[in-house]
Amino acid sequence: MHIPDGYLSPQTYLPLFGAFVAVAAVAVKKVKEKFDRKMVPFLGMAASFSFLIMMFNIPIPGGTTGHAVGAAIIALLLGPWVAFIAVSVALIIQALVFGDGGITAIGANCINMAFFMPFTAWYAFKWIRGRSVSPARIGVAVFLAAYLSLNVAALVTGIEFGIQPILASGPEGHPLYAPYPLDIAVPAMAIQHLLFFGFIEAIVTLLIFRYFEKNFPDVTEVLK
Amino acid sequence: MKRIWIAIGLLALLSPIGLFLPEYFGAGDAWGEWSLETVKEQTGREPEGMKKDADLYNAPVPDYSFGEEEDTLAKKSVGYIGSALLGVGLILLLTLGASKLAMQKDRG
Repeated sequence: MHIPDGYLSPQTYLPLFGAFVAVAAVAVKKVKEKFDRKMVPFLGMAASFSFLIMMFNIPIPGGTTGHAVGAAIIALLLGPWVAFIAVSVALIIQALVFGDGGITAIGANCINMAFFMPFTAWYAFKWIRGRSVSPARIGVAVFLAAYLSLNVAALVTGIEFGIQPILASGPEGHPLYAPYPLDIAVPAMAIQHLLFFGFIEAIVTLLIFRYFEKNFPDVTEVLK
Repeated sequence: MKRIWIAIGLLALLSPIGLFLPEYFGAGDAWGEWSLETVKEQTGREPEGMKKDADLYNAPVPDYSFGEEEDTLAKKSVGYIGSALLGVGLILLLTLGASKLAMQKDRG
């Protein structure tokens, strides 16, 4: 899901960069309000975890690979704004140091994976859980929230790919950037994540959630 | 707390799983992360804008690898673990530095 350089037209990546800077400004303000010394290691752990989990490339039928992002569990444990910062840090290091995701696409990739994912997970969990305290219901809410969050990120990424032929085409109508139109890009991104990677994100999220519930019961932000 | 750091270290050491599995199943790139050559193979042409921007930036450790495409899997794994540790090191420096800065400003 890391969009490389050359796939997005400037009319796409520039506004998304702007959106990223705007969200980042709000995130820093929000997080600073409650920030204390105790949170420093958690922020580092969260960003490190996201960075590492994205290195676990999983092959799927069809000859492609993908991975979990870890944004859902970070959002549920530390809140969506901290998750936005943590996952953004991981994505920026990936782009600058390892060429995973383009530098022109940093804004887009952070909006897709560090913004849409944590906020989807956060609100989906709250909505599915309702007011229930039943561990089963909470487990289902965690699982579905994580599953949905990766799929929303994949859908948004698919749309960004798919609108490129509309936004930037050469004189004979051929695409200048990502070549596949919406009716190819969106199903391709959606199906892989609906069938495979969404479940990986969900399982990873649920396992870690249960671990924290048991060992650090006062940490989990979404239960507060 | 210590157990979480150990878990993060373990994840870094196990990261070559993310290298072995795709290699074993002969899987290629993630969807939409192909090289310019692969796009040309798939569609028959090189989109002009993509050609212009694809190599805009050369990362110091491209694809989490310090070596060559032809390296053995064992050698690649060492590079992959090295990349994992380098990435985590940089992330901890960055988050620690930014947190210090944020807290200093609050006091001032």
